[in-house]
Amino acid sequence: MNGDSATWEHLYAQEYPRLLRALVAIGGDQAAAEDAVQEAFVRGYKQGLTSLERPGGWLLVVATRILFRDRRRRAAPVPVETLPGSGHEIDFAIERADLLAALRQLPERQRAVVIARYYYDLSYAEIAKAFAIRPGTVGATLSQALGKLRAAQAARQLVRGAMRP
Amino acid sequence: MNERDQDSLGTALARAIDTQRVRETPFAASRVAARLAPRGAGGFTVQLAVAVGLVVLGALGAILGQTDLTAVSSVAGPPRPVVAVRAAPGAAVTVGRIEGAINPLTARYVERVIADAASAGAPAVVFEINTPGGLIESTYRITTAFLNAPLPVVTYVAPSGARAASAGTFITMAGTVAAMAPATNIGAAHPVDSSGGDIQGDLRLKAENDAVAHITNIAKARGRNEQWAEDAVRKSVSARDDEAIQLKIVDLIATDLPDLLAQIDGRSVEVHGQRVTLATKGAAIDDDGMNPFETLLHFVVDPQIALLLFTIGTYGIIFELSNPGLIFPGIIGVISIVLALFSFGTLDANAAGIGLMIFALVLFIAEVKVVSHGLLVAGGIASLIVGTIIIFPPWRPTFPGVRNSADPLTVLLVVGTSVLFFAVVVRLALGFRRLPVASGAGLLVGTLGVAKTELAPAGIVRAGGDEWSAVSESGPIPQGAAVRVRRIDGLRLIVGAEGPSSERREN
Repeated sequence: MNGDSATWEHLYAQEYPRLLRALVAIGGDQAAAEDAVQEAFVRGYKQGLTSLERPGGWLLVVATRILFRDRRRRAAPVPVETLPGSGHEIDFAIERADLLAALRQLPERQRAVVIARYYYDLSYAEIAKAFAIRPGTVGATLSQALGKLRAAQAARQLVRGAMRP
Repeated sequence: MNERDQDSLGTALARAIDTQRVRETPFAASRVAARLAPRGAGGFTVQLAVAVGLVVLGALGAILGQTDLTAVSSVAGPPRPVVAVRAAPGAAVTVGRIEGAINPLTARYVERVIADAASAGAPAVVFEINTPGGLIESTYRITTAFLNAPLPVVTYVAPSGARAASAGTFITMAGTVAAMAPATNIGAAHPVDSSGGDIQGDLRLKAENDAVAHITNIAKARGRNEQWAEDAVRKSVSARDDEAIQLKIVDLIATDLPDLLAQIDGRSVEVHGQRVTLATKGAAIDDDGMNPFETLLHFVVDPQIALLLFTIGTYGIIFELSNPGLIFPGIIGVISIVLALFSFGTLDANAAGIGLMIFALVLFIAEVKVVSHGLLVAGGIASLIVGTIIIFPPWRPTFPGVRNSADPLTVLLVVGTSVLFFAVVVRLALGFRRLPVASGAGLLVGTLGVAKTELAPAGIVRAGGDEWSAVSESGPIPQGAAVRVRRIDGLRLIVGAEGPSSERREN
């Protein structure tokens, strides 16, 4: 059996919000992210996800795989980012936009691993298992990805600084 | 880049991700929720509401049907002043048929034929009669219609071998001209109770005296043998066609319809105090039998048929509700129930009986949806038994020849069908529904899949219509190769190479 409705409602409340945000961050397309997340939950239902101890990582892996598969069939993603009002928030929004834009410059696999580590807080061992890579590779991948992120962010800040009056 | 630097960037990233503006889909609208409840409680509520709505509509239809019948009977009632209509020159003689049990539908049909014949200007209306008897009220409606008809009514017991038993005696004697075919008989009009048994006590005397008063009135109005008419009721006497002529019960014997029309031609009869001379010799015949709709309703208005229809309807609806989407059983069910309710209404069925039968229907439907270990069915069957017995009370007076209460065989059939239905059909249907859901990881073990990526040794495998993370136990497997699922570790399949591709690789 696949568990009852209450179990799934609980799991959904727990996992859906961050999974959706992770996928929007990775792909930048709200509709595609929503689609992949919904599909991942359905797959989890069919495969008996509730029997797992920590289903979050599994959902992340499956949803990113679906997202990448579908993105190749789709037109270019539409970025979803609206700027909020006040001054302090604008600074933060710029930083956020920079970071997310930089994230999207990374290869797909690196994006997913970065999110698994820093947004999902999975351990190296868990990431290795979820993405089927060697634990040693996880550290190297992360370090490489963050290096690129840092560089991209710095570059953008430089550009922005130069554009300011 | 050092560790702390990494972490602070990671934290900033996590915060950036977390504060994105996204539109969330609530659980209720999610696809997985739709999977969890493919036919949820909401769907059932709607179905039940539709079913109940249709049954209520049917009940309204039945009540309307009854009201309509009453309206027709009051139109045909005695207080209306009737003027004899003059026959149109060359108009056809209308011929109707009174066959089978006399019930409210027969009365309605007779009233319609008389009205049609009158408006068509027919010189006379002939009713061929062959009946074993019927309901008292309906019989009186027919005799009343005959006595008040605006044109001559010829009653003709035909064809040879036919009989005008019990109620038929009243009807035949009420004709302006009464005729019989050779080898027919008339009589035996003693009232019985609605099961065909003797009426007990005071009610017997009352029913008997009432019938005697009615039939002697008819005999007097038509100038026939009043004493014999009384004996037909009190002593249940019966007469052959030749005896009926001698006893002045009927006027003539005619071998067939043309013979009848030839014999009565030129006869002077009285219609509402006016002398009318029949001109029927060689007249055209306008055959006005029951139309298909009247035939259907006449057939349906019978206690046994109504009970069987109600049973069929019950199971049609139950079957539809336990297997939504079959449509056909649902439609048949609703039509049957509506017809049954029409019949109940027309036959003056006992309201408590109808209530019990509908209560049984509700209990049966509940049994399909709620696990009660048969308690609801037991209650439903008890309700059904009592309902079928009291719905047509067996002690109402009627004329012999027709049963106006539930036959014990019908009750047995209805109840037996219910027991059998729940013992076999529903058990089976629910058994299938209570099987474990055919999905989930367990079913995959031993099945074949295809490597979507190279398994070195980990990768992705398509199996059971889904993509899975998989690890090969038999060394690297190339993309596109067939694999067999050996076991499941969490949500990861452990697979081995399979078939020709593995052999090829080993070669």
